[in-house]
Amino acid sequence: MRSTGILSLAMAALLAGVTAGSALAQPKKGGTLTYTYHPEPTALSTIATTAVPVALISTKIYESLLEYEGAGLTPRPGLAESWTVSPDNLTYTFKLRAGVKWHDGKPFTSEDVKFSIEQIALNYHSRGRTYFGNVEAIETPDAQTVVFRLKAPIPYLLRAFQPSETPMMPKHAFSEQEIAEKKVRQARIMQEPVGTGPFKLKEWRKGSHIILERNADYWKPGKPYLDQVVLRVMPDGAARAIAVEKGEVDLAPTSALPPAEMQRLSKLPHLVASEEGSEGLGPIMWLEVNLRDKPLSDVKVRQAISMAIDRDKLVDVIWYGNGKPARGPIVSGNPNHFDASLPKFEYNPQKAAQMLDEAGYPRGAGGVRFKLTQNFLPYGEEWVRQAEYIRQELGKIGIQVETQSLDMGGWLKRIYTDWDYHFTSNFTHNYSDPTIGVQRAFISSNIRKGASFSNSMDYRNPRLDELLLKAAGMQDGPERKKIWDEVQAILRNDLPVIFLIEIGYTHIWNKRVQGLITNGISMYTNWDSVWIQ
Amino acid sequence: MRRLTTFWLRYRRNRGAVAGALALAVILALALLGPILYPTDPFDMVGRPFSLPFDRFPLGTDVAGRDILAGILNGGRVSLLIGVLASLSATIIGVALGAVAGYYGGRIDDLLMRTTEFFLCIPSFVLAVVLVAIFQPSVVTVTVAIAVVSWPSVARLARGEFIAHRDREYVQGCRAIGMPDWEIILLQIMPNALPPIIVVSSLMVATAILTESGLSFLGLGDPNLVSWGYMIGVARTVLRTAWWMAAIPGVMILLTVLAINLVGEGLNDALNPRLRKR
Repeated sequence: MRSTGILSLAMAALLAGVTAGSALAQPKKGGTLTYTYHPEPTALSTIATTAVPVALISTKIYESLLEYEGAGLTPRPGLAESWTVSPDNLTYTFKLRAGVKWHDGKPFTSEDVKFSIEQIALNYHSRGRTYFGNVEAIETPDAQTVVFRLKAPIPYLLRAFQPSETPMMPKHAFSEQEIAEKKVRQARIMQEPVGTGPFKLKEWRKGSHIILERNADYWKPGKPYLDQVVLRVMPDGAARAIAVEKGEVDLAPTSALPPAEMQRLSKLPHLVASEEGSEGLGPIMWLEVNLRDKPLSDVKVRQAISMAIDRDKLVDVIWYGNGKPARGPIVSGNPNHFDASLPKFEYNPQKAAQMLDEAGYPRGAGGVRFKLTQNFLPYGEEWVRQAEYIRQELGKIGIQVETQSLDMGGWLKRIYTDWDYHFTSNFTHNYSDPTIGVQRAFISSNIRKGASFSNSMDYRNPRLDELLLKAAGMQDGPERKKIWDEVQAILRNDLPVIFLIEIGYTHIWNKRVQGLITNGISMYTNWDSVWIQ
Repeated sequence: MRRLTTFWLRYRRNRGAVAGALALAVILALALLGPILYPTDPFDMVGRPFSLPFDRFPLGTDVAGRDILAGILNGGRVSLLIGVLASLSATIIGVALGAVAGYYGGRIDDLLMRTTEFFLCIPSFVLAVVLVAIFQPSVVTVTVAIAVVSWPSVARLARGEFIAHRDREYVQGCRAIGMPDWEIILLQIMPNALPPIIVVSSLMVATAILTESGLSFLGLGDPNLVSWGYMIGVARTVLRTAWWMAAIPGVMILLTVLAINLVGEGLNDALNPRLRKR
């Protein structure tokens, strides 16, 4: 006990030193932060769509009840200045901050919270039902108090109050008609936002730029430091890279540049390239495998395919070193749920070929055992290069692969509506809790035609279902961790998808930008303490 | 035999055309024999990406560590195959429609020519992009798409030729002896109308190669095959750090298209000597 006490003291001292070091440079007020991302957002609220460009900009305008600290997303007071959780984990009481105003001057109250969750998040946010499906009632005893009563515990509820996930929307800005006719996504506020955040919309010239200006009435005294946040719209990847290089643009978040350019820019002395600050998203890429037919329904075949792919080479060559080989369904950057004892997946083509022999798929004419068709996620050319690489490697162990290229609409239809595919590359976000990001892809109740990023594989494992449901209703702790460890072991062995790599989101910024990386969702936070030197 | 000799004598007069024919022969030989003599798989990751030409590999490696020489040789096959097949199909479609329209005239002519104009007024590359995007990229769809956007010009030309010939005396003579229409079209007028069409369709091979390259560059080529346009598309993103990666296939396209154009011009000189006295 004593030794841990000393250790934590030492840690605290070390941490204090670190903060003191960075605090030496005094934040400066004023200035403009310009960033670039492609494509241009289609709306200024994640209620319209949770696509990355929308989340990037809307999180500066809208806030949620809590803020988060560190890679593990420790909840901190935000629009709620305090909260309590009942011992049975079924009642959450939030005390709202007094004096918070919407950008139009009206006060922010508990009614807005109730509205934002019951009417907006639950109906329109793509993960609203995962977060709040077990909420029985939201009570508002007074204007500063909100009480959530749950049907069953929601272990990750305190992580749901991120600005991109559960943005607080002003009730008065929606007409009754928009709510009644389910036209929220078409509402004017999606284009002309009214939030509580540190920045408000000044100008949006479509195809060119969006300017956000400082909210002078922001509830945090003295913040934000910046006068403006500007998004420059630049469709060409090379042009974005040059703008960052020349200092016209200060920041290219979440891998906004082509990998080759990122590699080049990361070596320049006036720029910083960092993979930090996205731990809360946890993007993981895999080959989604249709288990309905032979030979892919045979676990030996899937294990052989997994063994034939050199994940290190994928990361190094195709992704220019952005990312890490995956070790299971949960990303290694997730400190609370990842099983750190998991080894890397083995790369051994000889053994893979031997496994196929043993599984009863001998080489036939031309050395071909069987033929498969692969699709790939149509997100850009790295995905094509990866498909080409996989085709080559599988060809060497006797699996002849034909690549079929589809656009986004065609891809979604073929994989999630028609279920007519052999395997395809795909990636999803883990988010802060595996129940949000991992469960949906593997639980058998989510084999739903037409639902995108669901269990398209037709993977049915009663034991896994049981574990996932158990974990969904538990608070984090050693017990729950044990369940997730077993889930990871099962999925690594069954390989309903072939886990490939943890994509690295690289953020590149000019050294004059300070205070950007604050937590595991740094690009989706409000940047109120970012400043320019 | 004599006709061939006079053809060659006329062709030879155009020096550029002779050089073009030579270059084209070399390119054809490379495309046909290259992959056999240099059997590296163009999709294999053979070495470190971005290695320079003449270093470990004759022309270096691309962004994914693949041998560029293997890509050039195999890509040549695909580019030429698609180019030749597409222009051949376009010629057949174009000549068939143009011949019928020109020979019969009247309503058939109106109908066919309005259809042709419909195709002519859409920018051909854009139409090809749309067609390939709808029908999923593969060798077949790319070839068909290029043929579909290329035939109208042949049709116009063939129609003109047939109108010029249909009232000549020899045709009237054929009609007088009761020769059926298809025989007049195929056996009598066609041989006389063919020379300018051959010239146009040989030039069309060059356009078809360029169109295929453009499609592949945009990522609309057959994902299972290497072509020169595809190689440029791959290298595009690293143009500032590794320009040669795009320049090598680019030069190959340039040489091939130039050679075909020179040959086409030579054919024109040889087949239509009176049109081109120089």
